[in-house]
Amino acid sequence: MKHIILLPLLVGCLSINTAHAEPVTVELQLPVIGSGQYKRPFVAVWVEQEGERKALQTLALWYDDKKWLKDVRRWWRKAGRYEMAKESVSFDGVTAATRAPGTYTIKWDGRDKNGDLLSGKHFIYMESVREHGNRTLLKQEVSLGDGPHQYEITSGTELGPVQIKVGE
Amino acid sequence: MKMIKQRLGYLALASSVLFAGASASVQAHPMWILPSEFSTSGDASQWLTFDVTASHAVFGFDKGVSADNIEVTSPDGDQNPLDSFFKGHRRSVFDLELTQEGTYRIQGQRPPFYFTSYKSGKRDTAKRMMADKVNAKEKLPANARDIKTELIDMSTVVYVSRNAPSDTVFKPKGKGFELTPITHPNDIIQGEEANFILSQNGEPAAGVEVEITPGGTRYRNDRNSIKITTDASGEVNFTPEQAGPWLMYAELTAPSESSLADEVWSARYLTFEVIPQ
Repeated sequence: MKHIILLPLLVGCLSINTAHAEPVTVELQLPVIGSGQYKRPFVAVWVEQEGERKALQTLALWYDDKKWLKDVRRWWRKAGRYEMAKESVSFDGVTAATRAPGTYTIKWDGRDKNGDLLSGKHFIYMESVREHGNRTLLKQEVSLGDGPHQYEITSGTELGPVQIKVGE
Repeated sequence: MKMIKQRLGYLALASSVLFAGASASVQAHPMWILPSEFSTSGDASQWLTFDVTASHAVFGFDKGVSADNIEVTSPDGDQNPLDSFFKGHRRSVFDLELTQEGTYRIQGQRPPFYFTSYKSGKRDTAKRMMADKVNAKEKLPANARDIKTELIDMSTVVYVSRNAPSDTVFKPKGKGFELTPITHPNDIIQGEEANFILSQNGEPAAGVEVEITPGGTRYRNDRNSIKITTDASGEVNFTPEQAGPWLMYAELTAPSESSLADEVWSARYLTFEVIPQ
C-alpha cells in the first residue's frame, strides 16, 4: 500500500473545511481465478475510524445469501451484524448481487450513515471472501477534506489492485 | 453384582474423570464445550452443533461428559436444559437452534460433590473418599489425620451469538466464583487486548491464576498458554496473537460457609474464539 501522489496541500488546511463534499472513488478489481469450484466472491467496502468499534459507513456489499455474511468477517463484525439483521435501510443503494471478475467503480459522497460529512484521517477497508477460496482484506488510510489525493493498493489473492481517489 | 458395578463406577469417576495422579489436591480434566461456530448471521434462526468433553489436550476428546447438566440461557433471559444430546464414550454432542438474536450462554455445571482427603496408617498414606464432612466422620478410620473436605464446583461455559451480540447473559450472580466478560467473548480479535473479570461472592478475586491456551496443543511442542495472576482488580487482561478457538481456565479455593466442607474448590472454564484481523 503506498501513497503515490500527494498534491500540494492548500494553505490553511488545518482548519478543516466541512462545508463542501469531497467525492471518493474506489476502483477495484476482482481477479479472474481459474478454479473448477469458482463462485463469485462476497465483497464489502466500508469506512472505519481508528478506535471506533463500529464502521462509519458501508460503501458496497455484494452477496447472495445472508447466512454467509458472517464470513465477510471484519465487515460483519464492524457493520453487518449491527444493521443487516434488523432489515435496516442503511445499506440501501450499496447492496448488490455478487459480481463476476472485472473492474468496478464505487462512488461515495464522503458522508457517514447520519449524512454527516467526514473529515480527517479514516480507513477504507475492502474485504473479499470466496467459497472454497481465500479471503483478502485490504485497508487504506485516507485523508478526507484535505484536498485531492490518490492512493494505489497492491492486490491480494481475491481482490485488487485498487485505486482510491479522494476529491477531484 | 450391583455392588461391584457401583464400586467400579466410583473408582472410574475418582481415578480417571476427575483426578489424575496421586496428589491429594484435586487435579481435574479441563471440561469444555466447543461450538461449530461462535457467531452466525441471517434473518432466520440458525442451528449450531456443539462438542462436550473433558481433556487435557485443547481441544482433544477424552472423556464422555454428560450433557444432562447443560443449561442454555437465551438473550431474553429464558433458561432451558437441552432438548436432546448424544453421549458417546469420549464426547457428547448436541445441536442448538438460535431462534433469538443476540448472545446465548451455554453452561455445563458439574453437579457439586464432596471430596475428603486424609492420611492414615504407619506410612502416612494419602487417602480419599467421596464424602462430606459429616459423612466422612462416620467412615474415617480412627487414626485418620490431616483430614480435609472440599466441595468441588466445576463449570464450563461458551457464548455464541446470532447477528448483533448482546450482553444480557453476562450479569454476575454475586455468589461464588465467577468469570464475567468485559470484552464480549464473540469480539476477541487477534492482536487486540481482551478483558475479563474474576469475582468471588461479587468482590474482585485477586491472586487467582488464569491459564489461557490456544487450541491445537496436540500439534505443537509448547502449550503456548498465557498465564496471568489477577491483581486487586480481579481483571484478566491479555492479547491473543493466534486466531482460532481458545480455552480459559481459572480456579479458586475458598473457605466453606457450610459445615459439610472445609473449603470450596471452584474451577471455571470458558471456550472462546479469537477472530483474525
